[in-house]
Amino acid sequence: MRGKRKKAQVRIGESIAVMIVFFFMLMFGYAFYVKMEQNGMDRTIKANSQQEAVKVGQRIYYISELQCTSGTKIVKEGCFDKIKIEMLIDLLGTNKSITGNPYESVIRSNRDYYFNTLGISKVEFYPLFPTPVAGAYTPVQDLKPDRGDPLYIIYDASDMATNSGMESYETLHMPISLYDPETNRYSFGYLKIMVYYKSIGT
Amino acid sequence: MRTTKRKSQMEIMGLVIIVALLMIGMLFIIRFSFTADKQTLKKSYSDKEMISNFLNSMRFVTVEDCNSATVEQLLVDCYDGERDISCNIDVIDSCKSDNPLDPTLQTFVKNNLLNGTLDQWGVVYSIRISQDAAGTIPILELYNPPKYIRPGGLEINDKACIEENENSGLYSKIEPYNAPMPLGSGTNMYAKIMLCS
Repeated sequence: MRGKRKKAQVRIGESIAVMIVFFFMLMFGYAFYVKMEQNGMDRTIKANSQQEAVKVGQRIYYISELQCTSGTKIVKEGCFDKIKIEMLIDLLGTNKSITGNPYESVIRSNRDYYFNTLGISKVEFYPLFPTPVAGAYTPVQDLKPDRGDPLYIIYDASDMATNSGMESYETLHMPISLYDPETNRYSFGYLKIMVYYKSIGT
Repeated sequence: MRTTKRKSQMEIMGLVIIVALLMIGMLFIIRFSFTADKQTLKKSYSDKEMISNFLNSMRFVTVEDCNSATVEQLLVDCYDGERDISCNIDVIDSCKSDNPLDPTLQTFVKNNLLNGTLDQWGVVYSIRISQDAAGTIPILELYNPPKYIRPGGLEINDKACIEENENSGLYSKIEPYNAPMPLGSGTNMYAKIMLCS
């Protein structure tokens, strides 16, 4: 009788041990699954934002407001007009405080218009050739390209990204030439396009 | 007899659980291997775009050392073979050479336009701009990594993105394609591009 009881106790002990191991494995599996799902979702978000970056890149690359033209119609692909860039920066008040500006409402409506096209992104132009000379700066935005600054910040919705907690961004580069109609010279550089997004990790 | 039957049933159950766990594991592996493939496709798309944008924009660049001629005009000059545009010979004295230290148009494009863009962004490519679509008469040859290990063009770099290294197994994907380059004054050139990843 006593022996039988002990045997039964051992069996119950065994069953409990198996159950503990089983639940431990189940919990481990579940944690692994959740982590994998999270990584998968993060990857999907990243892939979508990469796609969005490509879309924004395409839009800015073919934006007719900035492209070089010769005569009245022919567009030169891969070339931006310096004066048109400066005009757009002026219209959007990029990298400038617009509070108190007499055209504040116009600038805000311009920003809204380009927000529909370029979304929560930032578009900068970095010059490469000719190399920016020491002390060179962009008068319209007070940037110093010889110290690593871009020559122009064309569009900037990074403050919107900060406000909505979008800390991650996808970067896309596009080589372009910059035409200066005043000197009739073409320089070379690239556009850096940053598209902001909110990842699960942030 | 009954106990033995029950025991074997339990063992079968254990096996079923193990098989089920293995299948779940396999499912995970298959799923993630497909995701990795998708990323490569996207990268190759943006690399292709960058090369095409580079070829479009490079043509307009003004070279002050060549009487303010554009790269396009210099390419046409190389195409004609007459070298009408005179350049500062310390900057550009010929069209191309296998020595990257020679002051050629090829070295100029590589050092001033490519080093800070495609090379910097890790695009592995070869671009051969030629007079004919087959690429037999090259005007410019641009590579990242360089085609030759040492200047002079004797030893081929086994990391270069070229046909000779197609079967080396170094790159999982090699994408060759041609892009016509219509230049000014009715000249047509062809860019033979290879993208490796």
